[in-house]
Amino acid sequence: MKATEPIVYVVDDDAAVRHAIKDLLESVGIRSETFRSGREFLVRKPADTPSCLILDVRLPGSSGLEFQRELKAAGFEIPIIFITGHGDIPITVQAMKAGAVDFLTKPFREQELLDAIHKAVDRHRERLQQVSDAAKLRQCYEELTPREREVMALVTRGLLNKQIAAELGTSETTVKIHRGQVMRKMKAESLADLVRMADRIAQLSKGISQPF
Amino acid sequence: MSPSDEIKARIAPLLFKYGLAMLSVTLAFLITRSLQPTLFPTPLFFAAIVISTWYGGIGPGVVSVLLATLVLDSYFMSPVRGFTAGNSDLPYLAQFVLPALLSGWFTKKRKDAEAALKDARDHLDAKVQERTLQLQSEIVERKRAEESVHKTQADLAHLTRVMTMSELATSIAHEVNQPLTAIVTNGAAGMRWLAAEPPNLERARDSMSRMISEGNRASEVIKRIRALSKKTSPHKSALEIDEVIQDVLALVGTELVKNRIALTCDLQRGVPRVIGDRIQLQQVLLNLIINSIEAMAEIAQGPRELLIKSEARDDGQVVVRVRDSGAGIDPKDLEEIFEGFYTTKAEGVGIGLSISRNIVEAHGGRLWASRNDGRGATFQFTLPTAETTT
Ligand SMILES: Nc1ncnc2c1ncn2[C@@H]1O[C@H](COP(=O)(O)OP(=O)(O)O)[C@@H](O)[C@H]1O
Ligand SMILES: [Mg+2]
Repeated sequence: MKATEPIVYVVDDDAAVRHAIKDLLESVGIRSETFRSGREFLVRKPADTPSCLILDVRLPGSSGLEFQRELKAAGFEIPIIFITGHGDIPITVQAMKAGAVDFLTKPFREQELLDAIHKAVDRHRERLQQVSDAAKLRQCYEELTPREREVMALVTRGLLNKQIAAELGTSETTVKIHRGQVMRKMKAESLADLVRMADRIAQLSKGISQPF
Repeated sequence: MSPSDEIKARIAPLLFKYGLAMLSVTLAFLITRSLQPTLFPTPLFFAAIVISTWYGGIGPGVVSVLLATLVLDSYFMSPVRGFTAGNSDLPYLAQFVLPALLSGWFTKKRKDAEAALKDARDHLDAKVQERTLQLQSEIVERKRAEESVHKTQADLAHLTRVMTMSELATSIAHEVNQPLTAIVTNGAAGMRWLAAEPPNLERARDSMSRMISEGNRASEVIKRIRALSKKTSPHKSALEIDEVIQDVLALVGTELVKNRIALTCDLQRGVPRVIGDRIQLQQVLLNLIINSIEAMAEIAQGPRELLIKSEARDDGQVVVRVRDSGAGIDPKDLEEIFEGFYTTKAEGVGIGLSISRNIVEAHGGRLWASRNDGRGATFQFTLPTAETTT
């Protein structure tokens, strides 16, 4: 199996349940790692691959919900599938609000679990993609000169070259050259593309990110 | 104390008393004589007699009267005449002796009265002390009784926590659910190993052997629960059902107040004793009363009234009724509510009534529910009495 393949982390205090889930996942070709407690999982730095966490609500020491908060506080961004002995509605609501992907009641049907895993892993993959896209975008933007950034801001506000030249007090030709540089450095395919990027950069600098 | 000491101890106060009598009369004589003829002779002698009687009692009093009479007669009646009472002096002497004797007697009375008063006061002190001690021991006794009530309450509270037990139920559910989860998941994995191309028989066999061991684990849990319920076999004795009712009311008192429920207790006097397990019967009542409280807590309007009634029936059984003015029960549910895990409450477990009915039936009685004419429901159970069972 390749290292970039998804990986599922399983945290349950019951060895038999851990083992069974690991075996089931293996039978459908999904890589997994099991942990007896949330703490054990925290020690292991999760890999940079799309993954998800199957978490027993009822953990010794801290409850699954507390652990969910701890993870968030520690900056681990990983989708969580809760499994629980009893379908406790208030807890379910709380967990979902805190960003759980799914909430399964034991004993769960295998298909339910597998579907939940696929959903969670896809979400994580998307999320990782977003994060790396944002990083790339930022990197590209960082390569622009101050003048190029000014041109980009004006272009994406919908100004014509002529207007930009007047605004910046340069010739239209200079603006055209800058504009070409911006498009190339930002790897933008069209003006619309560039506008989207500008929006995204604005969002990122305001610290807005999509939750799971 | 040696005999001579004892004699000394007895003689010393006598010497003091009679000595005092003689001394006081002598002093009266000396002073009266030195002040002659200015002073009328008798007053100081009266004083001497009063003092002697006061401190010495009747004996020294009489002695002082005699002495004073002699002295008066010898020295003051007629000048230096020696110790002979002349006939002419007699009326005068009588005038002195009679009042002297009287004053001595009054003094004695007065002294006695004072002594009696002092006695009474001492007695009172003793009484007060005795009562104080008594009260102290009563307080200790009462404290002890209160502690034992507290302990019973704590025991009962513990017991109901174990029995009404949404806790225990969830814990059992968890204990059984874990192996079940493992079995189902292993089964699913086994199927997948078999469905693989080519089938992975080795892994499928592993999955199945784990299913078997998890099945055994679940059955161990069940066995443990069975053993647990066996341990609590009922302990039956003859009981006053009213006492059982009071036990439970002591527990739910605060709950009733909190929910503003008016309690009426209509306990028939002299109900024959029932045969039963006190703790189990407490549980039945507690379940019924708590259900009533919960049923009344739901309603927003109308009176909240709880009636608990015990009475002897003609057939020799005792019947206990718990009647509330709560939400009531749909006629079609009157039997269903006694089924295990039937509940209409978000936090309910639905085992209270089924356990209660089991307990009552194990006692040879019946437990059923009915609708009230007005609002609310009535639960009642019968129990055989000591007479009917023997
Ligand atoms: N006094 C009552 N008034 C109305 N409904 C009642 C009363 N007592 C019991 N019930 C009904 O019977 C159900 C079962 O009661 P019980 O076995 O004690 O379980 P639980 O109290 O956990 O629900 C309750 O959920 C309720 O719907
Ligand atoms: Mg109940």
